[in-house]
Amino acid sequence: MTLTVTEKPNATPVAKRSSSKGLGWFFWACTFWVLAVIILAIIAPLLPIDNPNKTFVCQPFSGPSGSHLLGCDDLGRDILSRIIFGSRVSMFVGIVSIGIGLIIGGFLGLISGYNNKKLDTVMNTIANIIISFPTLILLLAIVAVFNHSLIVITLSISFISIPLLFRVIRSATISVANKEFVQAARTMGSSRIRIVFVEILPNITPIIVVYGCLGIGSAIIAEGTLAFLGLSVSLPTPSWGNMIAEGAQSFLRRDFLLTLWPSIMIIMTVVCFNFISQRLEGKFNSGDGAI
Amino acid sequence: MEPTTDSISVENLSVSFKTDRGLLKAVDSVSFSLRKGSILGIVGESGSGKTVLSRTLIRLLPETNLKIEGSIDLFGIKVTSLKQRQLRHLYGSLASIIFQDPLTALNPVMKIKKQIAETLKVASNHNGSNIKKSVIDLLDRVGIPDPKSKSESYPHQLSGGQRQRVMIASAIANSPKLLIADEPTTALDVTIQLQILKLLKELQKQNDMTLIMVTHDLGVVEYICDYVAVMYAGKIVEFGRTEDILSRPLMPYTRALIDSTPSIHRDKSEKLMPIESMIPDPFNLPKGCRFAPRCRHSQTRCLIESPRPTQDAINTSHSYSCFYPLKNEWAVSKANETIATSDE
Ligand SMILES: Nc1ncnc2c1ncn2[C@@H]1O[C@H](COP(=O)(O)OP(=O)(O)O)[C@@H](O)[C@H]1O
Ligand SMILES: [Mg+2]
Repeated sequence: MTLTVTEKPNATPVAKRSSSKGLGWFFWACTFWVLAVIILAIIAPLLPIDNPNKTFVCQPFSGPSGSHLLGCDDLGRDILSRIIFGSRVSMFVGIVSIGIGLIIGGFLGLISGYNNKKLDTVMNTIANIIISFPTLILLLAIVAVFNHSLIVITLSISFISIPLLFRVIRSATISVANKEFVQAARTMGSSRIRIVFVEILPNITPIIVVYGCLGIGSAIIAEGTLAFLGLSVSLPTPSWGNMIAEGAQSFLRRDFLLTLWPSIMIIMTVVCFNFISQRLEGKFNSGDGAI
Repeated sequence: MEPTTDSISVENLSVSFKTDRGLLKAVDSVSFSLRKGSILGIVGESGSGKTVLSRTLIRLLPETNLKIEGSIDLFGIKVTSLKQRQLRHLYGSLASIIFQDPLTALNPVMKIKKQIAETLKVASNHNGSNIKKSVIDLLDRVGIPDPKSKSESYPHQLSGGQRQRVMIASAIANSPKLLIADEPTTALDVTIQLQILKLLKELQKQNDMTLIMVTHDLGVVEYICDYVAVMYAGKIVEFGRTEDILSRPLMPYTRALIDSTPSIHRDKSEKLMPIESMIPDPFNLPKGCRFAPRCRHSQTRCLIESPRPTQDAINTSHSYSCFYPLKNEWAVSKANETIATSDE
């Protein structure tokens, strides 16, 4: 008895690794910028720069010069030093708040996305309720109820990011959970916990990275907004946001450089985070889901 | 969950989806039973309910908006009355499934060795080095060349045939008593198809596994199956031993399937006969026999009344749902031919 096959072969060709189209020089420039800012923020106290809070190290409002590269502010403080120390606030708030948001929102999203209808409906409804509040008002309310220390600001931004990240990761989980290999894992007897953390989680890491970067950018903006309203870390501790506030509110006519430098920092850093996120997303989407 | 009997039996099983357009009955009052260690083929055109039936046997379909009626008994375990959280114990050493497309059925970001190790861990009593060795052994058993280095690959680095072998290795890792294969060769190259079927047959023999083979290809059935269930629009319209069904089909639909399969229909003088028109819309099924509107032998009764499964008078293992079963020359001559060939 021989077998003659009657079906036309429709074999899927061996999936090629998406030949790396390259991420482009701008991606690497952005990565370099972000890493440089992070490293400088970490090692700021070790750098040979003036104390950011020390006044009259130079002539107030003196422009950029050899010894003070970005010039001096109204109290004769070194702007470069304040920018570098100010990045510590922005980076801390951005990275830590989104880190917490990803851990909590991600965990809940995974559980909710791969679970029974009831739990999922409840969690999703709660997330939608929180999201429906205007972000800035919610942020102001939290800061008003507590105080505006670095920790409270970080936690309140992470609180706002949780439902957003929850939603993203939940829907990613649902789409992976419907894939056949998850069913296959079930039929081999894997427990639910193993399926979520061993089968599904590695498949949504690209999404976590993409939305993590995007989130950090937004968190930096959120901190800047609070600072502009005088609700971030108290002066004289520098942050990009309160430097902009100080410069723009009192001295914009007199010396716009006081506002320009921190604005450039925020814009460049946020644009870089967004661009990194966007390029990575494109890269992940062009591949077969694998990193 | 310990098996207590030696057979699978399905009684009056119906599976319906609650959809926007209403209730879609994908499987309708299906009954059959099967002895341990045999191979059953489920054949039928695309959309006839093969996948739904085979997945329901192990309760694999997502059960929101799903209604399962009737009973399924796998080796003494009443599958239909299991709670959702008990299902996990059904899988692994009792039942397991191989999917049509191994590329989607393997985790794209997990190395082969990890995928198989994950399965082995479920059955426990394995420690680290033990698992490593079992993984290599399994890959070797399913015919992966150089299993040690291949186990370090990701699914996309393997060929289609190798991926399906990995899928099979994973499915048999905990020696299931029932293995369901849903069109396991459809996504593969012609030359690879036969190898995979051979492998399944071999493994089935070695483990004394029960194998349910879902396919739309009667060639596959002829090659590997002991029994065949022919499905049409959610119903099993004919059931019996493979030789009986292929040589003496009683239901015109089965005959039409055979006539449209070149490998079975060997008489080259006759033209291949594709089945005309389409399977009926599941929301708008014919009132009587569901095949009647396409059947060349249908009569008024077929359009009004629905035939019930009937046992063949000569051969009681053969059942069919038809008011006017075929008793034509073709069937008789075909039967003689089979006898003649088996004499050689
Ligand atoms: N999840 C689902 N929801 C609604 N209808 C479905 C679903 N899955 C399958 N069906 C329907 O059930 C019928 C049988 O499908 P299926 O078992 O996949 O057929 P086969 O495997 O024989 O090609 C089809 O009409 C199909 O549209
Ligand atoms: Mg199918």
